[in-house]
Amino acid sequence: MIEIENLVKNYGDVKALDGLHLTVKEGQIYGFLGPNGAGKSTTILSTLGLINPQAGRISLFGREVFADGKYREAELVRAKKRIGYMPEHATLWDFLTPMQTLDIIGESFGMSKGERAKRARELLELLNLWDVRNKKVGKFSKGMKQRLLLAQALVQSPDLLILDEPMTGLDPKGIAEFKDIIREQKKAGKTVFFSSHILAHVEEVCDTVGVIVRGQLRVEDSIENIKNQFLKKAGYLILLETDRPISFENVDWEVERVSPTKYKIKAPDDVRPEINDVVWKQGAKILQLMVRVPSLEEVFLSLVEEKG
Amino acid sequence: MLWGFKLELKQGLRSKKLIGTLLIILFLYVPFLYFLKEEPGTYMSTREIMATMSNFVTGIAIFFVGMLAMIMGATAINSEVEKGTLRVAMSKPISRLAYIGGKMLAHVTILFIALLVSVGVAIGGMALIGIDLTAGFVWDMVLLNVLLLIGITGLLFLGYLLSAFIKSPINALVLALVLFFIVWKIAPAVVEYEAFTHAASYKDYQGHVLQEYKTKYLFFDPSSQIEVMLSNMTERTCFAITKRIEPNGEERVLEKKEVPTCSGVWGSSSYPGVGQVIYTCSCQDVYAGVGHSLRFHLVNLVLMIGTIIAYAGFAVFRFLRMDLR
Repeated sequence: MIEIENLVKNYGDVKALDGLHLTVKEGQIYGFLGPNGAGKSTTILSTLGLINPQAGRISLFGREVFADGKYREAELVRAKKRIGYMPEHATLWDFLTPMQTLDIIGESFGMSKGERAKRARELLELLNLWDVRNKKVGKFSKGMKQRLLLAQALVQSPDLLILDEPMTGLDPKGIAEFKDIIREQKKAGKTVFFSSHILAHVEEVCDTVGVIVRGQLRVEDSIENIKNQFLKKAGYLILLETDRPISFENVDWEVERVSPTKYKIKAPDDVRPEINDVVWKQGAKILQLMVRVPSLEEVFLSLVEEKG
Repeated sequence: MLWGFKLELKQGLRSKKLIGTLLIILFLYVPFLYFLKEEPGTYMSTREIMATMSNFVTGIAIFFVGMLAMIMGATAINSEVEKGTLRVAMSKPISRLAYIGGKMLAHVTILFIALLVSVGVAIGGMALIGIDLTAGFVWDMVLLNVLLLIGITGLLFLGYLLSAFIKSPINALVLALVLFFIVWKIAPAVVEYEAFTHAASYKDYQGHVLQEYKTKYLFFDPSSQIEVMLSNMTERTCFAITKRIEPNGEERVLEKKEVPTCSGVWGSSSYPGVGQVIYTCSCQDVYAGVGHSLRFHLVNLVLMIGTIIAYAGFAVFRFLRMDLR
């Protein structure tokens, strides 16, 4: 769906993208993470031809849209027919109503008047904007504008949905609805490329995550694999609870006694079988033995802080 | 192409800027038409009134519609980048060229409507106050409208150029207004001063020297070029008359001939016993029309169109390459 190779974008002396490689496969819900100024929006804008990178290659739906420092306009326009984009910090035309907005957007995709009206109704109902369909967008709250921004991205039922910080400004109900819509997209076999600061949301809806730091992709994998890699690097933290005190001798692990029968064990690997042996040999019973799974936030912070 | 056009036209026709400008123009026409109503047959002939009206329409259009054009142009691109609407629009399957082309066309249409209202009120107002309008005058107004539209389109594209290069809409707007006043008032004043100091006579200063200076030094300013193009709307016809006043006081015209200028052809001589011979000369400005004036200044028309193409070209070139973030 999206293939980016060695993409370079400088704003004056600032390197926004420094040889970025990124691949989004069909059907993925791809969470694109990174601290402020890491190059998330620049990557998205480059993918859509909204900014001009200096070097690299971008392919969309298997066709090259950017190479040798310039866009292939015809290919880009063709690709955009299958893309829905929801920008960060954007508003729509204040003087239009939601119906008019979706109508004019639908027109850009060459949809007929009837199709446009039908689709606008579907989307406005889906996003709870039907009651305000004839109200000017300028009078909308931030949350309503966000929902309309999502609606405009879904007008032509895109194969690829690109969302830049989509949940900013939404209330909890709106966020829940939003996540449902993303899951619906996955069910329908669509691809979603989704940048966010809110790691909990990414963890909840995304199956693949890419972390960009200083214009380079630090990691790109499934959330589970990323966490495992993190555990391998940072070490496993195992929580143990037994029915009686245990003595840990001749082991390489760091053991912290939290209470007489509760222990925190830090080991370079998953040593649960070995712990089981130690406890069994001392005739004790295991009440709880688990590896504390790191949050995506911990993984993210470790990746961001890595290499300075 | 029609996508950007439709959107922009919808926005432009509802804008407070346009409505405000039209209201000001209409408001200014009222006292002017009232003034003209008092004039026929007293001080000005109908043809002189037509010339005055043409000048008034031109002045009003260049100032108000010209300023509107600069303001619209100066915020055309950067404000859309700032609001993010351009990112939404350009994420759709539309090429940048088609989008900016549609937008420019919509703005030109809006300016055309503003000019049409202005000229329409002029013609309607004159008919209303009972001035006989000739078909020639109405045609002249149409021609004037086209010329003004071309010139004001130049100011619009100058605004676009600022908008494509200056990221902040407020900064672009301020610069556009400063630039507008420079090209509209300050630069012509400097050029007029120069023309005055280099002119051999007052008539030269009024006429071709000033036109030449404006053509040469204000080639980049469409409003100055329009002024030059319309500077010969009236044609001056001068007659040298030789009269003799008989000793009995009777006056007899000896000769009346058309002369290019009255300079040096007047005075009197007395012949004792025969009477007094008086040489008089009088000139009259006759409204000759926009087409008549334009014939003398085709170079200015070419210059104006060339400038517009250059402004539009640079603005589009920049837009096609700019980062929309």
